Amino acid sequence: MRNEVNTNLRQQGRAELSFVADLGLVGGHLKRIVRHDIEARGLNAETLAEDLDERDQQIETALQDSRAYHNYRMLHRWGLGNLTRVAFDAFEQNRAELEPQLKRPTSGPATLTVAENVKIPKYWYNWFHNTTGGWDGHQYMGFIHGELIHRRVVGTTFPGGIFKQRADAAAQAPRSNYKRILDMGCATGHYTQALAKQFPHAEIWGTDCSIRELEYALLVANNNGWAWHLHRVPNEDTGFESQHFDLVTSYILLHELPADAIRATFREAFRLLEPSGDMLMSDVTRYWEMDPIAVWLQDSAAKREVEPFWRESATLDLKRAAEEVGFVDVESYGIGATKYPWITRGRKPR
Amino acid sequence: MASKKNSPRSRKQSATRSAARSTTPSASAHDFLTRQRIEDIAQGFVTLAGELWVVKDRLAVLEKVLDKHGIPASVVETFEPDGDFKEQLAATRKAYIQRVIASLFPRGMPQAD
Repeated sequence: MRNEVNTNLRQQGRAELSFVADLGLVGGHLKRIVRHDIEARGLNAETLAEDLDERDQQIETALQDSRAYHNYRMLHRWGLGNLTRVAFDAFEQNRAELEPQLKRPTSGPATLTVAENVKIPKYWYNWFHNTTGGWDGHQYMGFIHGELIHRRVVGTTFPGGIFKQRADAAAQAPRSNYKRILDMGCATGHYTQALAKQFPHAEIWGTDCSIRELEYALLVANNNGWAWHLHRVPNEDTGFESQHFDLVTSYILLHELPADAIRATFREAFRLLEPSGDMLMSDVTRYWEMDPIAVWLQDSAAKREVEPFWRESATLDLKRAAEEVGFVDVESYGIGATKYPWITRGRKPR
Repeated sequence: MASKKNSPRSRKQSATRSAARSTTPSASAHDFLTRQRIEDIAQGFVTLAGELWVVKDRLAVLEKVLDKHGIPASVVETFEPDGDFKEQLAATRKAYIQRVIASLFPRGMPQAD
């Protein structure tokens, strides 16, 4: 990227964030030990309950004497309780240098439209995703979440890197050229960047409910000369003209939504697409593609991470949901050995 | 016939057990490190480990910068490690975290395989 915001931090913030990130890597190691401990207690696909709550009880009881499990939980709790605090502190230590960069009047080809009287869904106002204060919980939450939490911490713990995953997802679009693309739930634009690189000639639109995330996306777009059209509207009800896009897409949005909102999002995507237009949605791996212990590890972590709709979303048949609103040639599959991210793509009939 | 429960021998055993209890405090009565307190202390322990790392990191940066240039400490505040030094710092940090977390296990960090 060119003209990036200078994100150099003061020593304490930089060191604390790197500490949290590396602690996460150790947590990942302990998670593998926990799996070993579960298996060592005779729990496996044959002995574990189908019902997720019953399975949770089974494993919790079996792991009462697992030191690895206790320490894994303890570290997870610490990370969840401290990550946002550390990022806020790092920002405050460097506010004098960062604020002028973030506040300067934006000039460039991108636009941000905040329509009045837009009804933001009730579920969005919860502090889901363990986002302290909510997505608009800090004046510079876009920078703090996008650069400090996501890029500096989360980005170092995802195998292969979070930006490669987004690029891989964008590459799953059926065509090599699009005229007009909508990125639903674009936040600060990490996936939108992948789309801009994959489809350099397309007109790109982005929506999100968070004004703070969009403000930072606007800055990123302008700093890079990307003419993004950013709108603060919910993905279920954008208010955009019908048949305005030939690709409607999202990355890691669906698991933040209740199942009804996912179906409504698919309906809106269908309405917004021109005939023969493509929908491409990327999200978390479906539970039925994972072994029962992996499901438990994911499901119980999601509960601690305040992801109220993860289970509901990860057990939803997205292929069927897409077909129900009218998409055809629908495919639903995971990328690579880990089947992550999970792709659902379909075409609006001619 | 006296029941076995109230027999002299039974009463003696009971008294012995009571005496033993009075000299060996039970966990609930005398231990202040209950399971919840241990959990709380563990949280503080990790916070402390984080703070300690900040100090260790700072010392490493100071030594490096002062060794090279002898320039004011304000430079240290905004010093952004890069290249070999960044890698060295990252390796030291990872090893440090491993040591701290390994200390939570009686035989060191368990291995997955």
